[in-house]
Amino acid sequence: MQWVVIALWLIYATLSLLSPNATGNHYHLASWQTFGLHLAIVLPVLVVWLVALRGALAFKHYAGIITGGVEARSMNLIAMGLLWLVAYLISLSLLGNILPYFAHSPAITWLVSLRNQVPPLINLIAFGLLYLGSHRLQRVVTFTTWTRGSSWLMVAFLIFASLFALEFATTDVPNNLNGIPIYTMSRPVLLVTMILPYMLAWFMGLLAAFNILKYARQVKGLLYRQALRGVARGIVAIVGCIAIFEVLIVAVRFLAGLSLGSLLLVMYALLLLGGLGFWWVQTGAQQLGKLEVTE
Amino acid sequence: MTPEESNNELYRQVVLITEEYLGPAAPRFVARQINFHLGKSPQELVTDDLPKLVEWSKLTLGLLTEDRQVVAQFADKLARLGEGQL
Repeated sequence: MQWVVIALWLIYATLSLLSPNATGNHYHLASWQTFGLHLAIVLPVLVVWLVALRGALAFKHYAGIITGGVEARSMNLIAMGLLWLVAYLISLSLLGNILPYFAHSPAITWLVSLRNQVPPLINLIAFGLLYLGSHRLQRVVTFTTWTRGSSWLMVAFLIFASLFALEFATTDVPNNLNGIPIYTMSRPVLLVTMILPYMLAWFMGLLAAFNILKYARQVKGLLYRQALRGVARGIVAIVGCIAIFEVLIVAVRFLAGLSLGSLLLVMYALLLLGGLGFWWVQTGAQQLGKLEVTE
Repeated sequence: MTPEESNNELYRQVVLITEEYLGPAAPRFVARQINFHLGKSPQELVTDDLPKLVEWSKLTLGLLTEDRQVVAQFADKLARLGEGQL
């Protein structure tokens, strides 16, 4: 699996480094500086992909060890959700980097649609699985998702989501960014096929994060809780990082106004948070696995 | 067979104590200790097995945490099962 990810990264890196994209022109960079900029992005991306894969596989391995246990089905669904998130990260980068090669081709219309609509669906599946798995944890420990704190957070989320949808529906966006169309469908269609899946995904991701944190706090077992804490912290970081990243993708026009330094800073911060999240999941899953195999 | 389904009260008590430390991993941990170190099924656990089970469980838990107090407390609780003090 690791070799598949490395092969996909090689494709991504080649597409990125040889890209006819006008990013350099946008920031008035020389060609060697543009090359360096792409390199400064593709290398950390490889690290994050590999860390993400190892984290998701470590958790899947743990879910496999506990087959038959009361929490096994929940953990397996969460592991599948994490693996779909790895697929999401890869699809997002690959689809985004194919576009510049087709900027002047008639295929650009459906490629842009593919870039805009496929990742939200993968993300919806991933967060949906995380939510289903976390919800089933209520069979192991009695906890309720809807406490006063989580309800208020949800109200805040719904207000944010409504404002976000309204802003998306009413604000004019430039036709293209670096010569590539941002959207190729009408706003009402995009609201249903792109914004709605993102919002549903964020909603389920938030609920999954609540459930996993509550489970980690309330489940019996001093050592089990210690091991699970890392996994819970990791999943919360991953959900948060991906949700923030997606808000920025949809609000790409705000990013276009940022200086190159600020843009890189935002990107590195998100890569670091996501990478840390998956690393916490990996170390937590390894600790949980140790509880299962030590004799 | 889950501990809840088992009619062996001692096994159920051992799992109950282990759950305080290992949560949902406890039934599997106890079953492993009994199978591997006592060479029998959890259903066959008897009071005479307790000293050996306590020793092995203490040793194994010691591999999972560096907190000696936790390990000693766990072993003590298990040992008291044999004395009928729980």
